[in-house]
Amino acid sequence: MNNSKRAVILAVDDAPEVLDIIKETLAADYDIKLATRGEIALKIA
Amino acid sequence: MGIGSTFGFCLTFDISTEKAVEKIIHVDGGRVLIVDDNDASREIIAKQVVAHGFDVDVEVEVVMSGKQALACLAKGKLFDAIIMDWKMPELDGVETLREINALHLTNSPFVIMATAYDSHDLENELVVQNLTAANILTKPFSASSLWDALNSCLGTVQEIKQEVETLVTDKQISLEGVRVLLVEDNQFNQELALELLDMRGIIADLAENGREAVELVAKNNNYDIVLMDCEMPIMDGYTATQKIRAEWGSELPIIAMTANVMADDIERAKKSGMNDHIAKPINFEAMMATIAKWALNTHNVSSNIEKITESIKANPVTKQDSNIMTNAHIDVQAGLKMLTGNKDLYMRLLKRFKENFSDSIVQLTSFLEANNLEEATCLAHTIKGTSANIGTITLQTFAAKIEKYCHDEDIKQAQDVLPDIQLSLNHVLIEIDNFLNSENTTEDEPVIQQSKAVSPEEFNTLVQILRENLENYDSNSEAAFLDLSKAVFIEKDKLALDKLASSIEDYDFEQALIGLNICYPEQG
Repeated sequence: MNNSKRAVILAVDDAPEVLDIIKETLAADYDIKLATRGEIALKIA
Repeated sequence: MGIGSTFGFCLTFDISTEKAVEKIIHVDGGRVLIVDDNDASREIIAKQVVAHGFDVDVEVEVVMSGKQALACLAKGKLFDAIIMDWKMPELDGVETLREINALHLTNSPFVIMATAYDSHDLENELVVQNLTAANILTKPFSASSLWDALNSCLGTVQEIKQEVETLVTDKQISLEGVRVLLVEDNQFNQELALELLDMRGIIADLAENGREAVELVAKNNNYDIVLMDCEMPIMDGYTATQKIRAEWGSELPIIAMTANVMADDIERAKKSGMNDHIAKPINFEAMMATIAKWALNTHNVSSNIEKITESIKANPVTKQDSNIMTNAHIDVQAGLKMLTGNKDLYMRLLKRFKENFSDSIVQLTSFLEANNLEEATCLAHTIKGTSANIGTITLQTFAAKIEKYCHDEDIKQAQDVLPDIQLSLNHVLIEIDNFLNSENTTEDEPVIQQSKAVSPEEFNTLVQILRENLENYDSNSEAAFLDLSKAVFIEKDKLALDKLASSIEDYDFEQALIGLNICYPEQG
């Protein structure tokens, strides 16, 4: 599979354990970007 | 590679408390006696019981008359439940029930009465004879209503066994010698509560209704605490409390036991002069915590927390207990299930919980003291969500309560929950330690990080990869950091590296980038 074609998912949650779960579950299939605050999410998006 | 997309997603839900109750009354099996003079009816009931019991171990025995049933019981055969027809020749169902009670069996079975006649007539007949049946079914009944009736009986049997087991192992707080007045009209609840109180060395007196309670308090006013059912015949709990308060003041702690956990009912209990409440069906851990809170020390809540914490420290859980204890406060299976069995991730969540929440109740206490409802609500909410993730229902329930009280701006109520939640958290932290320790020793992986010799160019590449990942808020940042830290052979600045590591662990990539640039300034 071509890496550059992988879908990108942005996950935003102030609870790091939620990001843990999302990362572990989805990282094999997607490029994941993680943000713990809304402002950071806006910068990424 | 095949064509097509696979989507996966992960949703976090709070576990409903209803579910928890349901789980408690999950039926593992039981012995059922069916008493009916009608051949067809007997066969149908037996089939229904067996058919529904496909995944549980239910033993069924059938007899044709009340006499046979009594003979069976008199021979010492044990049953958890009896399903009995009312209208039978010679000895009818109600008469048989009276005879069964007269046997004074030590393990007396629950009796479900069935009738093709008017169930109200049966009810009246039972009242007249001063008898109680666990349930009444009207024939013809559906398999599911039969099974519901059975579940509530057999389930309670399971519940008792389970609670007794948990409590035997759960002796952190000494409540020995505490004097309790139990006011409860339901015989089943009486027996259960008395047995459990006795196991903890608590001395309990029983009053069957409010009037008896008032009389007992008048006779020997030396109780440390009263556990008061609210709805009772003759005199209800509210009235009894008012009378006790009017006569002997407000010193004696009175705890409402009520199935109504609506705010109005709690309010009514408070108005009548009760100090606290326990919800029914009774969670015995909460019951013991409440007794500890009110009976050990009636005026200083925070010193109670200390006492409880000390007693836990004084009786550290031994290694052999770790499995039992794990089952008591953290439901590892539930936690793992939420993470589709990913044990590494679960361990990580446990570690994170320990790091982030050890002092959470202290924080919560100070937020509440400072009247900072916004922060308190937020923290309680976080504790609630996180407890759900790792599978600790009790902690989750207490946190939900505090969140609700904060939301209602009822600081006093919220503060009342603090001793309970602290106790629950203490249990959970001990179990996390035990669990993590046991996992570490069984796997025993060599965790010594071996520094890999790399050239300065390679090293710079690793730094650059991490930098790019951080700049992109990429979830691979952690892996990149691990690669880099393996390659660090000169201890540059341990403190700065640790800080960098913890920023990445907390997914604060911006802070991590600053830290990285301090350790390894960007070149060119």
